[in-house]
Amino acid sequence: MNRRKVIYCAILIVIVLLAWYAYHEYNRTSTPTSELKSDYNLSASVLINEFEQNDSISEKKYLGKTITVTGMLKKVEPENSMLLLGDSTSSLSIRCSLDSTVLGTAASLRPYTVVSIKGNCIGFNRDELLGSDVLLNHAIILKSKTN
Amino acid sequence: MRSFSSPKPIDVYLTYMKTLFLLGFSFLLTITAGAQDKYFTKSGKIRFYSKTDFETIDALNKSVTSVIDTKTGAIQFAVQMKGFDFKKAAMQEHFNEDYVESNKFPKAEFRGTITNNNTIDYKKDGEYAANVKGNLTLHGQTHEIETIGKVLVKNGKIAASADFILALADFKILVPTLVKDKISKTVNINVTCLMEPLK
Repeated sequence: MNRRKVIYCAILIVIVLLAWYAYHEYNRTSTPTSELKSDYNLSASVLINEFEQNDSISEKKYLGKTITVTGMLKKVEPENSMLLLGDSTSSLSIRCSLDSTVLGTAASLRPYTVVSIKGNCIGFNRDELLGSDVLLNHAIILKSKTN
Repeated sequence: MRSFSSPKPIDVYLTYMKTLFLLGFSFLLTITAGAQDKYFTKSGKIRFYSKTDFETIDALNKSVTSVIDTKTGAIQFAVQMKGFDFKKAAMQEHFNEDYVESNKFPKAEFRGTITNNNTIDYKKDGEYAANVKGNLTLHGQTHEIETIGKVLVKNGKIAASADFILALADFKILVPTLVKDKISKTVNINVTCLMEPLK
């Protein structure tokens, strides 16, 4: 009798734990970029060159990864909450779509300064007409300084 | 000795210069007109949603590249599958890993034409219906899509938008048996792009 009670209790506890886990897993939101550890830390030009030279190898390496890139801020598009990193004379850029938590900070950034951006690499658009881009999503600004 | 009454060489020279200037000017015009035929965006939006009694799926991608050639009506879209944001992280992971397999097929592309392009005046502000037809490549599968979109011309910019429905089976996107009855077999796609002239 007593043993049976223990078993029932154990089963109940397991069910509650499973339900709790399922509920939390179902409602889990994406981890904020600020809490993610960078898988790669490199300069904007290195990242651009790697993709430019071989998209498929670079996609395998960087896609879905958290990357910190440091480079020249080429352009700010506040209306799209987008930052462009890279050489201003080149048509190649890193397009960083800003995370909703840092939207306000973009306006204070000045082009032609060096910035460090952390974000999630979502791909590479090869485009002869418009210029190729490495895309970072949920980007946050780690540091910016005047060049 | 030449007389002053017939300054012919100068006249000839002037006409020559005029012709050259006009030729050059018209050449320049052609170039600029050619470039202004194209409009583009790199921050277009694609939203997709599907709804059943069990589950609502809603995701947004804000990094869509699109180019439209107003002269020919050719229109193109490119989107990175990993750029779709879901409210629920588990859903986003399943979408990438099990449904669209974004590691294997990172990009989706649409190449098509506006079949009634001659009825749209891209130089005049207004709202126009655009019949779009073309091929969508997604999950490694290419399928023909046809829809009626909207082209809004305002202050030299184009706001293009369209809604259409995709059947998951057309793109060999498999729904696991366990959730087969809980997830819709079609998804609604909404595209909105604010396009600027390409200079």
